[in-house]
Amino acid sequence: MGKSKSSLLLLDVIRIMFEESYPYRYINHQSAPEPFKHICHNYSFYGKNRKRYIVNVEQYEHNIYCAKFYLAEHKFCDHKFKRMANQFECSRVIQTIANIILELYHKNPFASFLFIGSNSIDENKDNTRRFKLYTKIIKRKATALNCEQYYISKYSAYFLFNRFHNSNIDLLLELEKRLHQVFN
Amino acid sequence: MPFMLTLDSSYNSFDASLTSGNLLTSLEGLYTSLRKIMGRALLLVLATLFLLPFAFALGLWFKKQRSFFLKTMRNDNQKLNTVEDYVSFRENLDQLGELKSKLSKLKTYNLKNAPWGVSFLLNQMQKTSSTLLQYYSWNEEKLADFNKPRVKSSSHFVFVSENELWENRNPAYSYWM
Repeated sequence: MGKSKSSLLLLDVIRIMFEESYPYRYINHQSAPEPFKHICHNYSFYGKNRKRYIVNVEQYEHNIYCAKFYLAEHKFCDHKFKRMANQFECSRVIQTIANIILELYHKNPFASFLFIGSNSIDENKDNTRRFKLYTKIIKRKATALNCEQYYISKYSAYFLFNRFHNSNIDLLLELEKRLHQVFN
Repeated sequence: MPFMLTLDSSYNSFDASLTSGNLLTSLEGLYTSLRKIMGRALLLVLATLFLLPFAFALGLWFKKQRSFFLKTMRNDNQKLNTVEDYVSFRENLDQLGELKSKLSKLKTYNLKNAPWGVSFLLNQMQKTSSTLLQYYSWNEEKLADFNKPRVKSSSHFVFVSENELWENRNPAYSYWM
């Protein structure tokens, strides 16, 4: 069945609103031993108000990647991940982060992705607003085709678990233990 | 819409099953309405005079379609490699799923009570509907792996099934992965 012109136009508007992203740049990568040994891939991009965002994608063992981002002007702030950017460009920022993640996924088809919704300064660590937002978006934008999807509200974590992983250990349990260490 | 007997490379089992499914449910509706409007005797006269040749031809058509469809159905191994494959597979499955209750209704008809002459057509319709239902359940089975965790875990992580994700989708958005 062909879609009407008006519905196509509406879909295009929605796509522009929610699927536009910013061009990003790979900066470098560095090894970090603490708290768990990982490689940190650093990216940056500029938002609509020429505010710079920094994206750190941490690559842990078992091909688990965890993306974190913050506004560059909060770089030296202790709560840089907890602070709100207040730039009203959430959908575009998230789409840009998604593009970075997808690039990593295409480079490494065995990658699994962990998203942790940081709590705001006035918020508890469980079931945070960011977690709810990420959960809603990922559920709508990622199929069950290549990754199994899991979440744990206690740690506000959403996990895209690659179907092609071949680890023999209970990776989910291992991940939960590590989250417990980080959160407590 | 390609019909079942179209022997070209564009043959699509899902399209064929949907065409047949829609035709079957329409015929079932027509038959039920006629039974309601007319008495059994009048329907028999009408069937003998006008509908019998048509019904017989249609029955034969269903028979041929079913035999061809059965062959393609067994070899139909749609791979879900890309997101596009998955989305089109799932949309087709949903469309076929909408016809499921109507197709199941066809199975409940008692052929012994059917007027003479129409019973051949009804028999073929019943067989075709059960083939389509089988095709639906086979395809549904393909998604079974996505609806349960691949490995058992003693963690507190909550698994999100494919069904839940599909129900939560927004058709306006395209998938990332």
